[in-house]
Amino acid sequence: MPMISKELIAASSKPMILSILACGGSYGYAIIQDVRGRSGGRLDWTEGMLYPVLHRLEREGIIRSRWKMSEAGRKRKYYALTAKGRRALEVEREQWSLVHATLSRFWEAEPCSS
Amino acid sequence: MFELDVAIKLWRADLLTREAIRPGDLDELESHLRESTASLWEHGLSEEESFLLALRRLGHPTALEAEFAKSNGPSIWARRFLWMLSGYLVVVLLVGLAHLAAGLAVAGGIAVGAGGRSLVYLGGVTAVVCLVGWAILAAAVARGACERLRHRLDDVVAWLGARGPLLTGAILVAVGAVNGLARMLYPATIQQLRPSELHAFGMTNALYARPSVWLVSGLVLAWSVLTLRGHRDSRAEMAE
Repeated sequence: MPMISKELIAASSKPMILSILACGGSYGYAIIQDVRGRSGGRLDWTEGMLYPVLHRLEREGIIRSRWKMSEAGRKRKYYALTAKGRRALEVEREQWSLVHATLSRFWEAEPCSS
Repeated sequence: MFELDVAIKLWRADLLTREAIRPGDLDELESHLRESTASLWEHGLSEEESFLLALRRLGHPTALEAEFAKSNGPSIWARRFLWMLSGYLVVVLLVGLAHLAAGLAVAGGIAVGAGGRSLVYLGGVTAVVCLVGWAILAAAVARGACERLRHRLDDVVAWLGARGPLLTGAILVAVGAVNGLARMLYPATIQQLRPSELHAFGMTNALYARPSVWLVSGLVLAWSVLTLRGHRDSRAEMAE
């Protein structure tokens, strides 16, 4: 299977990030590892591209951030969902489910019925 | 011999010349790079290989810059404006200082009865103050003051951004007004120091231009030397 296109990666980055943060606070490197793991390595983000997206979401008030020290003494910027972020995730979930359900119908249940 | 801290420092110096990427962004990217390098290292690569692969995964600096420009775009011009404003204020401050010292030297010269010779003091003191100010600036630039200054400027931009356009405009006008007021009050102070309408006043005015040219050219020189060095270092690193 070929790699996912750049456009699709960009479009799906917001629901991906929100879904990961819904399970608890996380930081850039761990978010990328999570996406890579869950997609079986097929969703491969150019890692640096994650940060401008995170900053945009933070400006929108969907997530918030805080610098913390890890146990290993490394500085990490942790992100967490805000209340507004939880609502945004619900909206994303509805929209993506609708797209997914529609495509599924075309491809599986009733192919090419006019 | 590969040294991770040195390699990261060079990488930072390269990215710092790209204005769309703020020092705060760079801290976060560095944290990522270190994390990624450490993880690859644990998988058995050498430290240098780990760093190079982590760098590649992070993305090419030009692509990163383009991506950050999309999210930092609106604040780039605000930052440029603040840089110009703060540069101007620093020059005005230092020139004012040189000016004041010169005025005091003239007054001192007259007080001890040096008369015409006080003009010599005037030139000498201005030159000394300029040189000292210049040396302090060069040392500050060399010690990485620019990066710290950019950090602070980012804080100021963020702070102004949170205030809204009206209040931001009011603050900038107030800064300008304080500067204008200081200039208006200044000649009166100097004239009080002098017993007569000395031709020295014309002399001070002529000197006014010299310190500013001196300071600005010094800053430009220090800045370009450092930038060139940064570029050369990162090119050398690429070549390795």
